Amino acid sequence: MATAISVQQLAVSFRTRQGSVAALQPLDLELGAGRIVGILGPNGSGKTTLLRVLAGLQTPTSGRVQLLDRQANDPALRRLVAFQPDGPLPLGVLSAPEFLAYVGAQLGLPNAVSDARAQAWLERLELQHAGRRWVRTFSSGMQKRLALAAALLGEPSILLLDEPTSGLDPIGSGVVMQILRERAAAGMTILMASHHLLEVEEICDEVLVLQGGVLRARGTLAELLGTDADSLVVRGLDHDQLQQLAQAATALGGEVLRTERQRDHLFALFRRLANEPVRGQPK
Amino acid sequence: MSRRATRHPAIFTLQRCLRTAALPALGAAVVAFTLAMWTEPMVASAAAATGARAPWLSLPIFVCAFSCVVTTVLFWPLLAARRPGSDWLRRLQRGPLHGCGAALSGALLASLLVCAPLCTVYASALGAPSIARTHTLVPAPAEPLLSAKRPHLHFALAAPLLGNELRLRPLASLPEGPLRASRVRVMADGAPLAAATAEFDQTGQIVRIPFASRTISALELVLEDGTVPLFFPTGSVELIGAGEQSGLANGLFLALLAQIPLFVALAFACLAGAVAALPTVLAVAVGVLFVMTVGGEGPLTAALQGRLQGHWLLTTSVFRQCVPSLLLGSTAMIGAMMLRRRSRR
Repeated sequence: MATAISVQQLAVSFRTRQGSVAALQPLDLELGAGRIVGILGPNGSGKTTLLRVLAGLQTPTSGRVQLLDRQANDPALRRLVAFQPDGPLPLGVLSAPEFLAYVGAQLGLPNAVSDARAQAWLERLELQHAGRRWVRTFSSGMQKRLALAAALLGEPSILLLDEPTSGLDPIGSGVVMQILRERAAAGMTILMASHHLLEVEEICDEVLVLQGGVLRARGTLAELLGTDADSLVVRGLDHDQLQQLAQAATALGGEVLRTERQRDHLFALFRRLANEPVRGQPK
Repeated sequence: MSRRATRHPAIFTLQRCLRTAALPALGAAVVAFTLAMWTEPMVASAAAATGARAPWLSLPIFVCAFSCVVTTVLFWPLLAARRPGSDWLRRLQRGPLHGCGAALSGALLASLLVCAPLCTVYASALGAPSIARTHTLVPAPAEPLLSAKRPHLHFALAAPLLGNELRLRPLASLPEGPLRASRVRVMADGAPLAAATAEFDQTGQIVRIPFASRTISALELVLEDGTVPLFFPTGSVELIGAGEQSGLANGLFLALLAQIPLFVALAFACLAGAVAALPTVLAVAVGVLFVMTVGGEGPLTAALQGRLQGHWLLTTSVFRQCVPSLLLGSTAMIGAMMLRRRSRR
């Protein structure tokens, strides 16, 4: 597997009135192409700083950063590496198509290509109905979806995402996850910082855990969570039958961890309600 | 969404500024015109009355520039530090100023489009003449006092000029005896310029001496009679060119000059925005704009008056007045580039 991101002894510190604050302690990292890597960590752990360094927006205090065998501030990476920062979009008085047209022009895309891709992403992310509305009137979820469309417009090889699903409803979040899976399958390397642990668990091949600017853990979910053991989930048995099954499992040397009443996830409820018409309103 | 022009930050800013500046400037022009007609200035001549209307011309120009400054600073996030969405533009936008220069160009173009009709049509409605002439200030000699003790004053022009009118506006001193108006004869290159003499008995009195078009390279003032000593500093002797220039072109040139305060204000916004947040940047930009328009610094005030009095603005002296402002703005832009390069580290 080719190396998409290579970081050697990367350190970043900021000068404050109180002195120097280390945002990232010397860090070594190599990430292969076509993988989805999640960055986890509490606030102030250095997730955004790492992404900004990789995006060429922050000059590291020391160390070496290479993306696709180029230095992080190489102008050629502007199109090959896309960065979706957290927070509102700029130029809020443009409409969604205008914003994407601007992004496409800055990435050097031919107008026809840019417009076609913009149209496709707006439809895929259900933003085609926004029309001429100003971006700043969008909800935070709509802005997040438009930000992802802008990040994907240039079809980059590396996608850096800072909180890509914050502010999104579960359905929008599901659409974004699906898109990321497809892009990764097509060879795109995705590095995403997130506080949504379930989503990270759901789609990431690998996880980095940062704390206080130090890489505390790194590995696949199986390596980190120890989920190698197989487990059995059953449904449709009454209480007595379950007791018998538990005894049989114990007799075979297994361990019954817990029994619980089956209930649906909130996500399923949300999806069901979203598909039902509201009383008195046509769907 | 198919035209490439609409994808450039300069065009976005142009559109935004036109939307926000055109109507307020038009409204200001209507109000200013009404007030100008209502409050006729108390001045001696019609030409002076037109010149005194300069503040009514400057009001809509200032409103336009103010709208453009505020709109541009709010629209382009990188004109101030720590604005939301800056990271997007810093990655996308090429160049040392990350699009601030393009935004500035868009604002200037929008302001020019709004100012052009103000400086031509609206200025004409205020009474600006349809033709313009070159007004050359004749440099004063070392001791420019004309009195009974020194009855001759010599003025040398930097280069021969073709003119057909001379304007004298000396400062008068206390009479050296019983008051008797001083009569001055004007000689050009050794020959009398006009048959009649000019008479002065008070300070600031303006006398126009029309003559048949001729080229003049030196002037001499001769005191023939009178007891009022006259002081002729630079600016008190003005030679009016014989050639007639288009008033419309003069208005368009004024519209160009009217962009200088906006350029300097936005250049300072660029500089301040490298380190300061939005409120500071807005305060700096609007402050600079005030100083350069209402405060009278820079070439605009004189140019507005010149336009209304029919002075041809495309002259070396007007250009010379623009140079310090243009240098100041350019220096601020260069400083902004250097600061922004440093702040990335």
